[in-house]
Amino acid sequence: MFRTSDIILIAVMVSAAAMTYKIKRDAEVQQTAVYKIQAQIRTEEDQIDLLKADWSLLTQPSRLQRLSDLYKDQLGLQTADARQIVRLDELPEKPPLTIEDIMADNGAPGVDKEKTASISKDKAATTDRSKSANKPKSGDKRPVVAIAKPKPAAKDKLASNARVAATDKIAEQIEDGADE
Amino acid sequence: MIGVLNKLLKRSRRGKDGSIVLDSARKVTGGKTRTRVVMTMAVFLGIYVAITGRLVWFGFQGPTDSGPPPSRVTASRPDIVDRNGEVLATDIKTSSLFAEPRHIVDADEAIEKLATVLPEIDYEQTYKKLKSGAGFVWLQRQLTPKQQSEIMQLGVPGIGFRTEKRRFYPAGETASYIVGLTNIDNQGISGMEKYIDDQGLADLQLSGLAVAKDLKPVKLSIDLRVQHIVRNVVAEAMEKYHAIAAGGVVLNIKTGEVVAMASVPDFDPNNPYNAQDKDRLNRMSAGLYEMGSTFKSFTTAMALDSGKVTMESKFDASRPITIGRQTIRDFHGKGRVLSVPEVFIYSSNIGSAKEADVVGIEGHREFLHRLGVLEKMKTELPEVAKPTEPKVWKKVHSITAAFGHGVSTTPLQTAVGCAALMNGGFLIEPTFLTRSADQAMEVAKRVVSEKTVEGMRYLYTLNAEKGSGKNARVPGYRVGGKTGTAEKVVNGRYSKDVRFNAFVAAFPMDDPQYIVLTIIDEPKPEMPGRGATAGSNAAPMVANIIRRAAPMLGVKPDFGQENAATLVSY
Repeated sequence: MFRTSDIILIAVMVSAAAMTYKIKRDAEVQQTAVYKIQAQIRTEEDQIDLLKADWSLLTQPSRLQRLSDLYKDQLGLQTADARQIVRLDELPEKPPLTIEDIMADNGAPGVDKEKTASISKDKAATTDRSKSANKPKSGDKRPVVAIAKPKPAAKDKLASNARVAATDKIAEQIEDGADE
Repeated sequence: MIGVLNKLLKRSRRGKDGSIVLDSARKVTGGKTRTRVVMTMAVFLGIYVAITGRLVWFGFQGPTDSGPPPSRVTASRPDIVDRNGEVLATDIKTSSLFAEPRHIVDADEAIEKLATVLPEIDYEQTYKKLKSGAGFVWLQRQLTPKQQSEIMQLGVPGIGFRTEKRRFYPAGETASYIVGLTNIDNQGISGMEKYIDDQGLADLQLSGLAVAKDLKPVKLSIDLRVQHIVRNVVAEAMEKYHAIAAGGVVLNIKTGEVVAMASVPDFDPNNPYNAQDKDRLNRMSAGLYEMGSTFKSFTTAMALDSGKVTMESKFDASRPITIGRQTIRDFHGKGRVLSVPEVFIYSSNIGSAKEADVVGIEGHREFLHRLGVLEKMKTELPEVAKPTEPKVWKKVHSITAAFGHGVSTTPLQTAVGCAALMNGGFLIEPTFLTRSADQAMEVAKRVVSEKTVEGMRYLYTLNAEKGSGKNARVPGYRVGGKTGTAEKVVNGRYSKDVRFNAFVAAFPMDDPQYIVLTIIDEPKPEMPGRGATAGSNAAPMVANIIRRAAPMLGVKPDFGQENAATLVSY
């Protein structure tokens, strides 16, 4: 009764119907998801608007002034005076930082005694070297010269080390202060 | 069934033929069947008629009055932001909670649940509302989205939300006159809100195209921080000097942008119950005043610009001028011959009148019009007053106008006129929208010469150094300016005690960037025995504004030129 072609066509038809149904159903599901997300976006947008308004309300200059007046004792804020505003080029030139200054400032606790000693030794060696440069014949000085040779770089490094130590110390002090 | 019917018909037909009729069989069943059918049909018909009738009746019946009132279509408006993007006006969506008491199952439970989210709810009142049997009641207006979602979670039947769009002004009264107001339909009715509508937003809303997302924020030239300072200083001054009103404006002289403008008394745009009061007027642009001695800036500039007067010219101010019934005297009379700078710093009425006399009546009138002081100002703000002047200028008008009486104009225009005398001689219409210096130069008109500007800068500096403007000085910011103490007309006569004071200042004087103009209406002395002239109230206001606002305006303090004015030889 049924020919093969009929069976094939029926199968195709059934599967096409099933496919259509599935696609339609999937689309509906997706559509619902889209609606949901759209609703969410709308709420979020409204919320953003509201928060923006809230933010500008909270950062109103008039409100900030009221608060700073209220907590004057604790904050100690004052109107900036014209004399407190300085351009960069109006700043007095800072004297160049030397390693001795840093060490003198830091005093004993921050810096390793050994290091200080070695640096001064280094310095001494440098002077030795300049002297010895005039008379290179004395062979026993050689090792000292060898140590002293990379001096400019070494000094920079040491200086930067010392600077790092100094900033560390400042940070420490700040933390200490905060603890108190 | 059809078979039965046919049988019946056949039988009756046969009967008519005159043949034998067996009636009894039909009588036993047929008659009854017929009536049953008819009865059944009647019953069903009756039922259907009743249903149709009821439907028609329902159709004619209006819906019961439950649910919220029809929603107002509130149109979207663009945000208004200041020059730094701080919000001055924005649309926020708020939702309001309503209930339909008829659908409330258990009022007690509903209230108890709502109270967990809205602790401030009034039990008794709400209970009455819910038991009232009305179709619709408001329970709480303007909830936050958080409260709304929490109430939704409660799942109380018979309540609902209605979202409403509302215009919100975070800055409150700080910029109330500039930003303006909207009415209940979200249409601009004053200030920049009205300007935005007039620019085509109203049409857009009518056609339904005003979608919130497509509306770009409108950026004003106002700097909210400076605006706050001006409003704050002005409000404090009004209280301190027991004045009836006060105002201030900060104008960028290179671009014509109004950076800040305040006038008190003002109103809170979020609750504008008093916005229509008589004294709620933007005095800076909509108030007309006789500006007094600040007009001497214009008189002096006019005299210098005419070329007939130089800095060395002398004017005899030893005797009062009598014209008609009026006598012009000096407030700080020196009783001698004065040079032009002296006329300016001693604010000599006689000297100014003589300066005007040199130029002539028509020249004087023309000059004031050229500076735009007597023209109706063209700017975005809708509240702008038209200056008044005598219909026909006679000599007496020219003389009184020389020291700012007899003609009245708005303080903002005076500031704009003074800006032209400071910025190199260009009159630039003020704007409340952002504008660059180049754009400003396209609309600028040259009104006075470079040399006049130089002279005016010198005079302003000198007046702040030695003259009546000492109280306006701020260390570091090189302020120069001119006082103006005008007597107000009371019962048709100029009163000695009722004054209108103004101070117009420019800073920094070595390269003026901003004009600051303050006004104070009917100030009283701060303490008995002190004066109530402009130098003692309007000038300190300027100083306070500049001291606080200059760093925000990007003016760098400089202490090197503090005594420049005395060193400069013109």
